[in-house]
Amino acid sequence: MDYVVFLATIVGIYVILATSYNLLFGYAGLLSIAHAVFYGVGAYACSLALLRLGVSFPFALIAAMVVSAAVAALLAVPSLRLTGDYLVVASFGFQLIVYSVLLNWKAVTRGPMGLPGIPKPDLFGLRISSSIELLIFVYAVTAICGLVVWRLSRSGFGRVLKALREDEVAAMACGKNVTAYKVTAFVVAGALAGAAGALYASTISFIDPQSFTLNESFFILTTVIVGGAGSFWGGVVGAIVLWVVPESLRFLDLPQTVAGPLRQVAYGALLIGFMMFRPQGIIGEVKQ
Amino acid sequence: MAIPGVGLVELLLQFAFNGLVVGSLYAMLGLSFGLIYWTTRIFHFAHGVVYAAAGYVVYVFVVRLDMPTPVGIAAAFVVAAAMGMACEFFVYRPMRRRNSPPMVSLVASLGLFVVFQNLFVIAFTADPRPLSQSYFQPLEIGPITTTWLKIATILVGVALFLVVIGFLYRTRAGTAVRAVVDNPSMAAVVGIDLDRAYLMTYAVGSVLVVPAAYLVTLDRGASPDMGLPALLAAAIAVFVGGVGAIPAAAFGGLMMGLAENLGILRIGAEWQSAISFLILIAFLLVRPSGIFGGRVRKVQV
Repeated sequence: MDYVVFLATIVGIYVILATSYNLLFGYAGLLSIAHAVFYGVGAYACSLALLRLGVSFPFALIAAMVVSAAVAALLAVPSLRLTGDYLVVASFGFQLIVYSVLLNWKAVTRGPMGLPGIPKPDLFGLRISSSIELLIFVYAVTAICGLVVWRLSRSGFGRVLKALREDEVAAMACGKNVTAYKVTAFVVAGALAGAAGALYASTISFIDPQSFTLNESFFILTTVIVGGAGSFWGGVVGAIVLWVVPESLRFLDLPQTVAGPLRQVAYGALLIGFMMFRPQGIIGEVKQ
Repeated sequence: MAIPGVGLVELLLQFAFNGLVVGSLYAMLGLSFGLIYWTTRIFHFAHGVVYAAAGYVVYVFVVRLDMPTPVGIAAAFVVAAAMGMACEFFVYRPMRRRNSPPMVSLVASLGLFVVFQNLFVIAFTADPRPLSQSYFQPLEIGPITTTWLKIATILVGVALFLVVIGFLYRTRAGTAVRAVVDNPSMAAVVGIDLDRAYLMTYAVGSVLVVPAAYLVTLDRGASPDMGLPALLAAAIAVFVGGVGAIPAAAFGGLMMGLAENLGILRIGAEWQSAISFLILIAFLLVRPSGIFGGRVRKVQV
């Protein structure tokens, strides 16, 4: 039972990751394979705030979101001039470099040894102690993040993002400040991913750079592709499907050295399969 | 950075030479990837696993099956070409028929990359698989310490560059490729069979990546994640080299190799990869057409 609660908590965190990435990739068409960067930076920022500065969780969460948003703004800069493939390569490199920083900046991040002993969230004096309480807390944050993305996607902001995806020049011709929209998309997506990172750090209580590699970015991309890029519930569905289905394969009892890569093979196969036969994902985009 | 007993000039020469070696590898990667990219405009992520596959094929033939090296390399050529063509035939071509947006092909290629990289982990484990021979005996040429392998790398790089130039400018197939690079619709109008051109491009591009794969496998063994940094290096070399200029990727690669190694003089070695990335960003922001490139067409995504 404890395991189910834990899995549900993780799914909640990934729903935030998927919906935030959906905003960037599904709506705005900005293909970056660096989302794990914002996730990881948020996790580290939160952990360091909790461990080194001793602040309470709400402040650590905000710190995580701010730092991630700042890093996201950094990546947004190349995105203004770069299209498609160039942005992919830039984000690719960005991901590898930040991973390298997390691994090598031992003074701050303790490198591969990671940060252990991260406390569970505390809210204004009340510390969360049971896994159920944690689940509820995480889902509360997930709901808030989901609401943010929902409102954004339904509003003019979301429509402009989609316009950018379809035809950037036309959007410019209509007087839309493309730069502002792109940077905002990155900053919002980054901040939300940072929040997810903070929740993750507190849930698992130990983080190391291995959780925030390129593979992680691929996974987030896969959740959005499978669920349905460009539709709000796509992110939610994708996160759930991609966690629940492989977890049920656990009962096949494969050796760990095979199970891990086999899971990745499945993700890759899903990407190929969906691109070939159902690029719009499970939910598919609602065409207005 | 100071080493007692070694003057600055010697240091510079040594690092410049190392830069040439690495740059030659990047150049080879860039040439093979650039051929495919500028002709088909597909970001062929899977090129990274074709490269890794080539390394593993040589390993299997030479170490596991005990065959002579030339046989292993020939097998690697065949497998690489087959893989490249399979990607085109089974994945990219159907998407082209369906007028899928380029991003769809890119994500599918990413999927191919993930699938094969992890199949390598399952088949060969994550440990590097070295080849038994070694050309590591150090030798000294003047102030520079090097190995036969490193010299061979530079020579192979030069040879590959000449092969690519010869192919593009001296053969009919190469001329067709240049036509497609320049303007695919026009090429089709003058009677070039685009499907066949693409298939051949993937075959040739994949074959061209084998020498680099072999050299790296000799040096460090074949490992499942060898494709990733190679792909990134290839992409950067191509973009820095210039829009539509396939041979220019060689110069992009050389530049990267030199910059990375000379940069070590000032920055720690673990930040090496950051240098190439920053070069790319600088170019893309300041001169997006690259060193030798033509007009930057606003690439649709």
